[in-house]
Amino acid sequence: MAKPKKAVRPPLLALRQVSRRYGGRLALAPLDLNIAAGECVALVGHNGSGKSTLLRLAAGRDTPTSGTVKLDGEPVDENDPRVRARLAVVGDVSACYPDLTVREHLALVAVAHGVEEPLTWVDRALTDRGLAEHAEVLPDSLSSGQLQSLLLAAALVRPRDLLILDEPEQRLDPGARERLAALLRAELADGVAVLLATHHPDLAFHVADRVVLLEDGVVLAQGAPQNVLPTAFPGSALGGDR
Amino acid sequence: MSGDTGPGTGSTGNGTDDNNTDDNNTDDNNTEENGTADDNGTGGGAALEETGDWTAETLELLRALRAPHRRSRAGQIGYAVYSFMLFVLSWGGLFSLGLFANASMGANYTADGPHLLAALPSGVCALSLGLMLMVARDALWRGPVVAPRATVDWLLMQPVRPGPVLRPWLWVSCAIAVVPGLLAAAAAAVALGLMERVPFLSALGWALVGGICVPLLATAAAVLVERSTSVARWVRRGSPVVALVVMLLAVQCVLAVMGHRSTLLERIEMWSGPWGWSALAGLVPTHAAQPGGWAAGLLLAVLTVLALAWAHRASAGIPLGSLRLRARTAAGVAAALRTAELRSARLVQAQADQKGRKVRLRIPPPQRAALIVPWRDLTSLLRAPSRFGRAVLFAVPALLLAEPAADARGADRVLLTALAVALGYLGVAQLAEPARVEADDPRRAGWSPYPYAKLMLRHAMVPVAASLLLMTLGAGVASALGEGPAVWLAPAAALPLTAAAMVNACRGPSRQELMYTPTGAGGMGPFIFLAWYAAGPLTTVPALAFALGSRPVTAVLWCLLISAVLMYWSYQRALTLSGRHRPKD
Repeated sequence: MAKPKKAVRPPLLALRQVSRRYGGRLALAPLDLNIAAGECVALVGHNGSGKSTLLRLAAGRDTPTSGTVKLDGEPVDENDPRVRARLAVVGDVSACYPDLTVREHLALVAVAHGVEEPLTWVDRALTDRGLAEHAEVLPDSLSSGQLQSLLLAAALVRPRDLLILDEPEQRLDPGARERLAALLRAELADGVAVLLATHHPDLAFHVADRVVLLEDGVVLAQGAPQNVLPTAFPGSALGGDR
Repeated sequence: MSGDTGPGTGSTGNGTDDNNTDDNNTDDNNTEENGTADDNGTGGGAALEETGDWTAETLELLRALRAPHRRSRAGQIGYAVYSFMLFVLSWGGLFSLGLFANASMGANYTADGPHLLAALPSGVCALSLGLMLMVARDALWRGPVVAPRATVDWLLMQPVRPGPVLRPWLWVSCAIAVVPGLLAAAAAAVALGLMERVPFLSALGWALVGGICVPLLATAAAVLVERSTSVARWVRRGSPVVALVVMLLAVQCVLAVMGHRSTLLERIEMWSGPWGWSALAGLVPTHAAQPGGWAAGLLLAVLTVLALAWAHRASAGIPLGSLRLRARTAAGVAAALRTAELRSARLVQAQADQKGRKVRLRIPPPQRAALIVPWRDLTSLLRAPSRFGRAVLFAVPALLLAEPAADARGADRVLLTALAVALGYLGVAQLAEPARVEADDPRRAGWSPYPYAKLMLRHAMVPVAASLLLMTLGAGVASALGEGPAVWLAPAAALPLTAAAMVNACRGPSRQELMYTPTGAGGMGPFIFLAWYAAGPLTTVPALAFALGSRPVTAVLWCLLISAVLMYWSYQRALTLSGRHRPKD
């Protein structure tokens, strides 16, 4: 009798033999990467290892030199509003409207996505990201960590299938980092796929299903966090349960 | 789609969220009304039909939220427009009225009429083509469709149709582009009215054809540059050639005024494209009208309308990556300009323009330490060959002016020499860029085995050699083409001009505090800032304008003396810059 096979989740985001060259420099060697709904993949590696390049390609903000990037079988291009509707990107330094409050920024995003009862979701995102008491202030008054929280909140007030985060732990205090990890776990439980680049082994350990270690644009290792992270961050203690 | 932690949409989304059919229908209708064919495809409304189009609601919310900001902005713009109109009407309008009143009372301004008519064909071609080049170059880093950073980073990152967001910026650019065209048309109409006795309204009407259509056509073409990287590449490659053509047209214009005309060449130029059609239209009400002038005007107007219709559609399809880059560059340049950091503004713009440029040329580093600075400067210059091109562009008219300046007498001689020297300075200053880069941040000189001030002196070696070579070659060519011996003063002038460029290079970071320097004579701050900013040319141009007017041997000796003084000055400025001498507050 044949053994039962484990069901394989179809990939939401599929990168096939994707590479990127800038002039003569190879920023990313050809790689394959699949991310299924409810799955989190963490990219780790030194600065310049190709993490951000890979994120830009996955977000459709850059065109691969070779290979394809597809979301549910459709090419990913940020100029396509269908892609922007499904894909939330957090990480780029963002310029805010100087005359709109934090709450108004979030309301704008919620309305642009046709969210029902947008203000309810705005209030919820403000609370989740610890921004409730800054809801009525202008972005100029926010610290860099609070600005990062605002960008995360903007991803929460809208529907999303895939969340792409470039070093989201940057500029966050320990409490905010813990809230971030909890948020990402909730996203995964809710079926949202997450692709993040991080320099923080604890975040990758507690959130990621798979870790991809990049160096000079080449995948050195990929697999379960407990297998890859010790190679990526030798000497760092990975504490707690996953 | 997410359920508990993520909000659901009211649209026909991809997931299992509840749909709000009524809202969705309304939006579809909105899309039909507002949406145009340009919104199809990437970034378009057709794609949004699947996810639900909330553009109208989003823009309505944004308008409501930003109403106070828009009112304040409208006030600022209104005040700027009022001030500009007041300036133009009080100076240009009243002055012109005065001239027309004089003419009606018998004053005769027609003596220069034939010269004006001779200058118009090539002059208008040069102006129109120059404007088109300028607008196309601007589109390489900024462009007619340049939304603010917040709009790109927040609004356009959402699934909204970009057309309704971007088109207003296109039309704002069109409106701004038309302003110089209107002024030029008005000036041409006044000149034709006075010098050729052409009825003012007729002259204005025909001049407006070019004055309005050429800027609009250039703006529409700039959308193409902004949209397509391959077109942008062609513009980058073709710019030196077009710049050369513009310069030749300007020379032809001067020659035409002096009586050397080629009507066949002018006819070919005027029918060669929209730049010439505007000249043909402008000539219609004069007695120098060419056959088919009205047809050229009509052709230009039709082409402009078609181009604008295309640009209106195409502006919605500008890639978000391009918009993001341009928004950041424009914000950086604006920030630098607000703090009078003119060089920073230029660097920000150049950085965006040269993004992705490959480094092809490599010179092997020298073995001798003494050659390391010239090696670094030569490498830098050879990797930016456009600098040589610009040096030649400025040097050519400078050399061409040398002989007329030598032949002139009195104040004309000084003025023409000063103009030639100023053009020569602009040419030579292109070659001192490596020194300016070194002075932008003195900490960069950490690698140098030399003290900072002496390092800056060493940075003069390559510009001196290059400018001497340029001016000697130029003088040789000009002499072979029949120019007089005055052109041979150009190599001698190259030395003080390079030294003046070094004085400016050793200026260092912008000293905005000079803008607010208190003086006993009122608000002189901007002039003090200008004196500091352009100290090199402001002292050298008048000095050389007088020195080059003397006998050749004396002129050469003056050049050497001025060079020595300027090099000492640049050395002292470099010492100040390196912190050994603090600036006197």
